[in-house]
Amino acid sequence: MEKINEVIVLSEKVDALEGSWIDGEPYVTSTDVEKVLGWQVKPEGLCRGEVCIPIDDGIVSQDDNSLNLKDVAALAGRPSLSAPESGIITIGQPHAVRSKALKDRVAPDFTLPDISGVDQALSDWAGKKRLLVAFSSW
Amino acid sequence: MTFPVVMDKDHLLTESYAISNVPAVIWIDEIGMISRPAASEFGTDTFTEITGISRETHMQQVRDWVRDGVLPDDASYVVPDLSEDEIQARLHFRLAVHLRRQDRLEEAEKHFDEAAELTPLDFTVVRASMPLRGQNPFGEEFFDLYQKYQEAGFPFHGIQRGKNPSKG
Repeated sequence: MEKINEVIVLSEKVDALEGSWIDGEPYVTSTDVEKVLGWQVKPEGLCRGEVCIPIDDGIVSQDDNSLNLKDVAALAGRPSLSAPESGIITIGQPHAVRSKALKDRVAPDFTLPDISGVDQALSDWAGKKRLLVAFSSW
Repeated sequence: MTFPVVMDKDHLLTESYAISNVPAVIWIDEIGMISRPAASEFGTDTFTEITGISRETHMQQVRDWVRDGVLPDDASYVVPDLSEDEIQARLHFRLAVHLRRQDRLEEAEKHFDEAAELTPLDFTVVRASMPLRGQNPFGEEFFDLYQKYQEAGFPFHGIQRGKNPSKG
């Protein structure tokens, strides 16, 4: 059912990437790593802005230089769940975002659609006091 | 005052804010700092007999905060981080919801099950999946869940109010 040479990534969005599954783990190109995680693969490591994290050789496939997306996500501080039988890796919110919320009290910003499909961000109401009410009608 | 309602179909806020049940109300100030972390608060007194939480107490606290910047004692409560199991359960839930949208129901069920096994008492995982799996969120499955939740002492990532008051 699922295409073998495809890696579907669920993060804040859904991306269908060219890639492969090796031993149950997803491998994608460095270009796609940047597209999905916002971190760039450079000779010095995994970089965002001025920050670079050294990459372990084990993350890179010997065959085609593709990268183990689960390991790269972990380096970038994101948990993930690989489901090779479904061809999907689900990438969670960064640990640091939640940690800053719980320990440092920095409210994570978010953008979500309202019922008309119009995106609304928490930061759209910066400068005002806000009540964030999480609710479900079940 | 505005009251935008947004939909978090993938439950991203349960990850970024460590939300594990609803309703959860979080106070955020003008510069985006959390003034009071997640707490069970209700817009009505419909469930006050069960929860011991009064709508008016919260509203008065909100008024004091808005008018004078005064915070209740419990506002200093530090919400514990999600465990690895709670994180993984949220990812299984998100994957299941995605699969269900694609009509891949068998695969979806498997991940709803795995999520529930990891966090059997997390309402955002277990109860939220009930209507998506053809179960009744107000039926037998829910009352089983609620009984276990009660026996476990109402575990909740947030200030425990009402019948489990926290002094912060």
